[in-house]
Amino acid sequence: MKILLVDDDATNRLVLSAYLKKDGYDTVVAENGQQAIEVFLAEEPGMILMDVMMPVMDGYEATAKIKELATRFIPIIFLTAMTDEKALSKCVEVGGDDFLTKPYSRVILNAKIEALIRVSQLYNRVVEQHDALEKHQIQEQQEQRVARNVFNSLMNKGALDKDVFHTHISPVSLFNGDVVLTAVRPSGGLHILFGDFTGHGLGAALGALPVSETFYTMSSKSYGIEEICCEINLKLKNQLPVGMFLATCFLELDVINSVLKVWNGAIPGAYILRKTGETIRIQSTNLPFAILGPKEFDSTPTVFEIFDGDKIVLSTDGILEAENTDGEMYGTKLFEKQIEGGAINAELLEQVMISLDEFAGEQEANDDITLAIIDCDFDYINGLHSETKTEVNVIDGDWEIGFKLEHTIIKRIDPLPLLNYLINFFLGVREKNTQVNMILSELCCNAIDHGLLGLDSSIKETPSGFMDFYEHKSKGLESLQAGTIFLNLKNTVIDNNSILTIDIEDTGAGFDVSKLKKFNLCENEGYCGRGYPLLVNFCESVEFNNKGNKVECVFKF
Amino acid sequence: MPVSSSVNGSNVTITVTGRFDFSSHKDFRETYANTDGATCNYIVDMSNTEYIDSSALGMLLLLREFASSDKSRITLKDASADVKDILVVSNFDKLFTLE
Repeated sequence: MKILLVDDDATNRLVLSAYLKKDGYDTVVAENGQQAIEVFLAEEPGMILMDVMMPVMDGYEATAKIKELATRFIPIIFLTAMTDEKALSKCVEVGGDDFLTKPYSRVILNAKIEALIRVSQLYNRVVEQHDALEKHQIQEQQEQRVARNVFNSLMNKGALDKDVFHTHISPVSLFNGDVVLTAVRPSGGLHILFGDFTGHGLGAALGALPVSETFYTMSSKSYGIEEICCEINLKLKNQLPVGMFLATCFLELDVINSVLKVWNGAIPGAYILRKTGETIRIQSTNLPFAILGPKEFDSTPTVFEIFDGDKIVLSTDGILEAENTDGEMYGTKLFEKQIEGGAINAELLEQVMISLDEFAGEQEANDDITLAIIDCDFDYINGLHSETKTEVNVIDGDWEIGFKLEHTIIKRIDPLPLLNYLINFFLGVREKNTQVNMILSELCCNAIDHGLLGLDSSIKETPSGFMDFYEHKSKGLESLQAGTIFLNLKNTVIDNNSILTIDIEDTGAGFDVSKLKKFNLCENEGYCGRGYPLLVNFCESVEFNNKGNKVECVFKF
Repeated sequence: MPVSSSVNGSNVTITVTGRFDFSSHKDFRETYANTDGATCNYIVDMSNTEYIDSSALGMLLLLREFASSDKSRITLKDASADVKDILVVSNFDKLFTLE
């Protein structure tokens, strides 16, 4: 430890210096305040013993200046012959840490020096820790910013316009653990994933990476709700630590057939608001993602009928559990009252948020609050196209490919992803692929539902019939014992145009084709709902055989 | 003490009082850390639990893993209507015995 002695009296400097050296300290000296500052800057002593009355600059002024210049704690002890209280208290006022009146005892001086060394060590340790903490904090903020950028770029890829898809997302930490993803399916319609991770912040947001990647990739490849849910669950189960999970409501909206398929795992606030004023709560029937292994996981969705003009409301538990200053929760009842009859309210989201703000008052939110409202505007959704629009990789040439799908296969897999892959592979990714996908989807659905399972669309016409239809379908598929679907795709290139001929035949009983003749394109009811008019609309020709178990569609690119 | 426990033979009773959230994490874990997960019965007494959040559900999953995912050996007991709602919405009744 180096100590600076400041005194204008040479004898004092000499005596004190000798004492301190004997006690093991290094010493440097200065004759007045001005010199003290210079020596302090040059020698960086660990402590200063300061006289008060000196020529050029006195000890008060020098102390104030040194304390201002010092970047760390430098204890200064005043040694003075003055005894009046005012002069002594000024020593502390200007920044001195202690004082001792002359003549002083060597023992007391030594004790004071040692005590102040301890104080300065403690002080310097605190400063070091503070610096380390600050450095760490800056680094962490930087890392959080990077993670947030990645997170936001994933979340903002949504397919829907703000006019039909209203969302409120409020992060309680730098970024939140709520996930809202939307994608247009290649065969038309939408996929929406609304999720809420355990906890929030970095840990939760990290899990969003595999979820969004799987969601976007599989949806763009025509996979359905069941396959995507299975895959996301499996990925998260393998990647997340036990205890972390993703509560999710997954929606598959098919506006052509008016079908909404929902897989709800622990999202409490999921509702369909009918244009007619009715509110239907979508029950959570599953555990969140990442808890069950692939064998126990059940991806079977619940099927609802959906109408043009209906709304779908999704909210995380953050809203239902929002508290006011009295510690009461917002709760399901108040939430349901707010959204009641909301299908016709364009400002529904804002209205709910205002009501929540009024309820919470001064109380700060302690969970992520995410609310999404989807307007089921069928025309708008019909007009959406799946993401890739650049025309690439067109293989110019004739080809033909055929499939024979036995009932054993049809029970287990959805042929659409495979067909979608083939179309993209042979015809390249083109804007009209959406239409081809829609046609294939309708044709396959038809062959299975009406051909092999013999289901009658008229079941759907009664209010409960819609749900019954899908109940019959899943039971029918389970117990299907026989049946085959033949599918043939043939592409011919004529004058740079692709002519795609799709033949599909099933071993079912067929149907009375003459009924189609009476079919009016302007009507929405009738044989296979909106499916048939869609085919007629997109295709150059649609021909059934007389038995009604085979259809040929010609599509021109 | 928001989390306390008592051991009676192979029965471990864990009592959670007040809010069951992330702040209970360490205490909750410690209640069963020194018990034999392969044989013990765990009873989580929730009669005085006012609130449960998703990280608490996560803690229950950790306990479940500790007890080899054996539904018959983990019981969530006497949860209030509000807490039960959360457990049921999350379908935790499929993983634990609710009493």
